[in-house]
Amino acid sequence: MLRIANLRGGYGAGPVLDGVDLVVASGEVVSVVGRNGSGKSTLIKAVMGLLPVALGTIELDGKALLGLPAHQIARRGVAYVPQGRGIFPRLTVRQNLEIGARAAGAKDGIPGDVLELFPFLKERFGQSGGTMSGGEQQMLAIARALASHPRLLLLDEPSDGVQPRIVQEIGELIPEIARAHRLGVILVEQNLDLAMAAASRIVVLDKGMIAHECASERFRDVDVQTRFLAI
Amino acid sequence: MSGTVVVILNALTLISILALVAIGLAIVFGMMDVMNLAHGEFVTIGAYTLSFVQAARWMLPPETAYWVALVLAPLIGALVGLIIEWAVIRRLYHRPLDTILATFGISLILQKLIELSFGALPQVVVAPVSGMVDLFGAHYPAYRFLIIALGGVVIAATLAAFRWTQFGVDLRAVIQNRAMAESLGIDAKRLTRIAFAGGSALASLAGVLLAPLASVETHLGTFYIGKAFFVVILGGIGSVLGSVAGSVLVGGAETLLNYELDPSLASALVLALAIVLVRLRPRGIVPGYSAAHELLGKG
Repeated sequence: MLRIANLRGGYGAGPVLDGVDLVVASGEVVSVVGRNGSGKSTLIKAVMGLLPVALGTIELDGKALLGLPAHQIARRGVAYVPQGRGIFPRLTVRQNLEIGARAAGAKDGIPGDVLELFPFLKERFGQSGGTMSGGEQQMLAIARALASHPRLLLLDEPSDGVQPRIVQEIGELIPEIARAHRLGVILVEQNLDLAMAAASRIVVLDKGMIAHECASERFRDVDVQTRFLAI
Repeated sequence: MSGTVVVILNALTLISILALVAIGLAIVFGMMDVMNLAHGEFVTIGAYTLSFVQAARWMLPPETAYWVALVLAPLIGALVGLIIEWAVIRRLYHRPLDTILATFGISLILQKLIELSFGALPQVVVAPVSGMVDLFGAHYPAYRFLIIALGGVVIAATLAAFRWTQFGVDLRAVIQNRAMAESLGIDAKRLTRIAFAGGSALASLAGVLLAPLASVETHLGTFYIGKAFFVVILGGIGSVLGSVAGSVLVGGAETLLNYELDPSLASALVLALAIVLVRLRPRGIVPGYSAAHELLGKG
């Protein structure tokens, strides 16, 4: 479904990504791990069209995404939950979700299945996004991304600033949603437990290149972890 | 009693005009941290549209021609705004200092273009209504009532649109987090262009409204641009409600002080008051949340 080939790019001076190849099938969750500065976040920013400089190939269902502005990539079925969650702090929960629902051009408001996943959001419709806790904002950000019924979901560090119980919930939720909606997911994560729990495949990024790729279970091997992630 | 009513009505007149000029400035400033120093020229364009339409007549009496100008001026303002955004501003995103220089240049070019077309002499404009109206014992010009009413309606409509329409919500989303808004399918460039044109249209509308009270000259706008920046910084960057609150404060204080003091001293005191208030509330009376502004470390 998503095909990335020989992707290079960065923020101007010097490339951050140095030839990344990655394929994500629909319904599949792939975790991208790696040391700080290895290019994990940059990779999903490139897919979302937020990277100033990017060369190579990014295709969704055979159609080129690279080169399109971010808003058109969103309309083609790519949803993004950035690090720090990117909630519009002065808009209400409902307005945050409505913007998400409009991304794919849907006119009939916030989809019911999204609210079923996060029932607490319904009770908070009138609350400002910025006044919610970190974990609640994370749920809202995921709900907002799902509201457009995307084909591909990009998650950047959803465990960041979120309490362990919620991290565990997110870890269970991601593969469940991916399966139910035939949704491809790229999860960038420092928290290896979450990365392995949510994904079937782990990709290790190092200096902008893929250093290792294996099934999640195999990554539990401490030797493998030390080899690719230890400093 | 009647003196108090007159001061209040004078304040409301100034507040209406200031708010119309400041709203566009606040949105553009909040959306992309662009200081548009040419914003005042849209006021001038509005005022000159009125004098042009009234002079041309088109077989209309000047009083009727006024209403034609009132509709035409925002359209011309929007069109000129679109051209400036397309030709200059959009090339200068993320370069706020260059934008100041560029818009200052545009301001001078527009002033001189107007002077070349219409001459340096003040233009003649006529109010659509004359005479006085009595209210609570005060004897007050009917035209100023019209300014307050029209200004109030347009400001309220702008506030409502910003708060409740899809367009307004999208605009606020772009102000609060541009990259995220784009990642959710909002065409931020298009919205910025529309907002720029809309703000220009409001300033041109203000130009028509204030023209019969002012001397219509090419530098008319420069008088309002400084005050409007005051209003925006005092009220809160990126906040429409803040612009209105800032206008109430600046317009109200200036009118009140003008009543008792020499106008120059009054202006100086308002500036001093603004400095104290910004020191106490650095983010403004109604703090807007502008990501563009905070990214540049000026939150």
